[in-house]
Amino acid sequence: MKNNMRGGTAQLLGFELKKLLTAVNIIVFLILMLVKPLIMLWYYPPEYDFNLNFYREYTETLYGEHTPEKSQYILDERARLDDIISKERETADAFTNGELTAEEYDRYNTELIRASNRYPAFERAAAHCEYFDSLSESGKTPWWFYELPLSEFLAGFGADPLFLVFIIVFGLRFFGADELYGMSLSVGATPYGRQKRSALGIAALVIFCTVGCVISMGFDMLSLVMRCGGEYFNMPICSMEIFADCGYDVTVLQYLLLILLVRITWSAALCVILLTVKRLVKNTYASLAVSAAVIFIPLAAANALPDWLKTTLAGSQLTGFSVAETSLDVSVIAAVATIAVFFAISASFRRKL
Amino acid sequence: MESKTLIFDKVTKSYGGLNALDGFSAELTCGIYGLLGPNGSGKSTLMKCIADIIRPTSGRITYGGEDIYSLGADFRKVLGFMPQDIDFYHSFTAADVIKYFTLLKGGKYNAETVEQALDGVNLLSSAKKRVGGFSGGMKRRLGIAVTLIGTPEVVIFDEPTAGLDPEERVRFKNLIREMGKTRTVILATQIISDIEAVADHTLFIKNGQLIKTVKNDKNIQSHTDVLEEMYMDSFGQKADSHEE
Repeated sequence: MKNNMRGGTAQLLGFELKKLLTAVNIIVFLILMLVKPLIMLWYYPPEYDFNLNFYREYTETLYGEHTPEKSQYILDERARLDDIISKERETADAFTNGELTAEEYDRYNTELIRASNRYPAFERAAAHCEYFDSLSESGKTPWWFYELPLSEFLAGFGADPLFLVFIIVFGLRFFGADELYGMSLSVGATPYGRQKRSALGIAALVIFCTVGCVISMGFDMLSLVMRCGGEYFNMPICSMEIFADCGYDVTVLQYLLLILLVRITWSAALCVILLTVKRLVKNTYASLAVSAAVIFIPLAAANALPDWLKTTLAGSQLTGFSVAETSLDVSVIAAVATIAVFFAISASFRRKL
Repeated sequence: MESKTLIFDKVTKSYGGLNALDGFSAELTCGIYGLLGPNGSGKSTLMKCIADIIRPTSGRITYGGEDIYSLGADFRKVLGFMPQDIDFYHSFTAADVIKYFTLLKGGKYNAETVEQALDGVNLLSSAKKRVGGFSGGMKRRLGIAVTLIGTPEVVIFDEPTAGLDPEERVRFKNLIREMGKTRTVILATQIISDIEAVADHTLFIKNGQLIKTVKNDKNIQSHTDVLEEMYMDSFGQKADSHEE
């Protein structure tokens, strides 16, 4: 009997999903997903900065797990560069006094130019090394690699307005389908046409949004690979200063998967918000406006938000903040709390249908 | 099938200061009940109350002695309701609709039950066609099939024959006659000939009140004329006495 009910529930869920998989919905979804990489490419064009080549050289020289020897290398390099630069006046005087040949002076000048050019990049590497040293107490093991493009990409990796538009449009269409097709009464008069179907409807939309999240994240990762290469997915996230406050000792790929989890949880929260809005505001355009306001206000007012809210919402796509600022566990808890609050509102304002 | 009594006890439904139903009382047992009344008389409100779409402001509706709102989903399991304006998700096929509503009614389906349901309303050949391409009449026929899923004990039809062609009306009336032998069927319409053809009783409703109950005598040749006369007396306007 129980198995029969489970089978019926699964079949009903299948029909709720079928309601979502209309030709129009699929076409709109594909268009949004095709537009996204173009926007990503425009927003994050592949960058070639020759001034950073020296820094890249240092990171490639030191590539791998950070060790005390690498800290020592930085100290030695600083001493070497400082030594060259500090001898500029002294060497010029020695050449003037005839203590150095023109050939020796030329060789020194070449070294001086190299050292001067290299110094800003070295300073950056030294600061990076200092950051790595500071992590030693936390037990994290950062890696040396050319992290700047990846770091820059993740710093700007925040809201995904296309995905939010996608959820609003599909969610409202889905929850408004009964009224649109005049099925509210006939469905509401059935024993399972109310709470159970509402719950399965949310489940179907969450499944749909989860697939959307995965595809959307897939495009983000593709952009990341195009920009930075795919070999850095296994690097510890703590290797980048933007993750200095990150409490998780995970790799880049694992972090992105955790962000995906946060986004999926928030997608579920958005679905419940949409269901609530649709129950409170019957008119399609009014519900669209209210939903857009509820979902986009945090994005518009992002900078005015307190820090705790920024870290909570950063991974949710509801703000433009970098995922690096996300407090993943708090964000998931906030999403679950949002679901509970909007469920309660939805239940207290629930119309008969 | 054991027949239970559906009792309306002074059912009132108010919207603001206006009473759509005003102390409606009736007892319905096994048989076909034609609900006759002009627009705004409270027919649809009464049917929505039975279907638990809306709830009365006061009064009780009981089925088998139990309050239908306390029964909740248990009552809806034995209920078939076809509203006046019916449509279905356009991306669904006719077979999908039957399967979907079978599940919503807590039942199970297989190819045979789906075929039977669609064959009963002459839609078997359109089983795999999307509802979006259906005519109004086809949608109503599908609505009738949906209403009858799970062999409900109480069946409510709101203007079921609007948009049906003559042949389908005959088929529908035969179907209703058969159903009325074992269950309670409520048929709300403004077409007197529909009620005359099938109903055992006619309930005249005006301003939300039951003003007259007539046991239909199908032996009278021109029963339609009798009902029409009563309609005129009761409501002071002409009813739709013939099929469109």
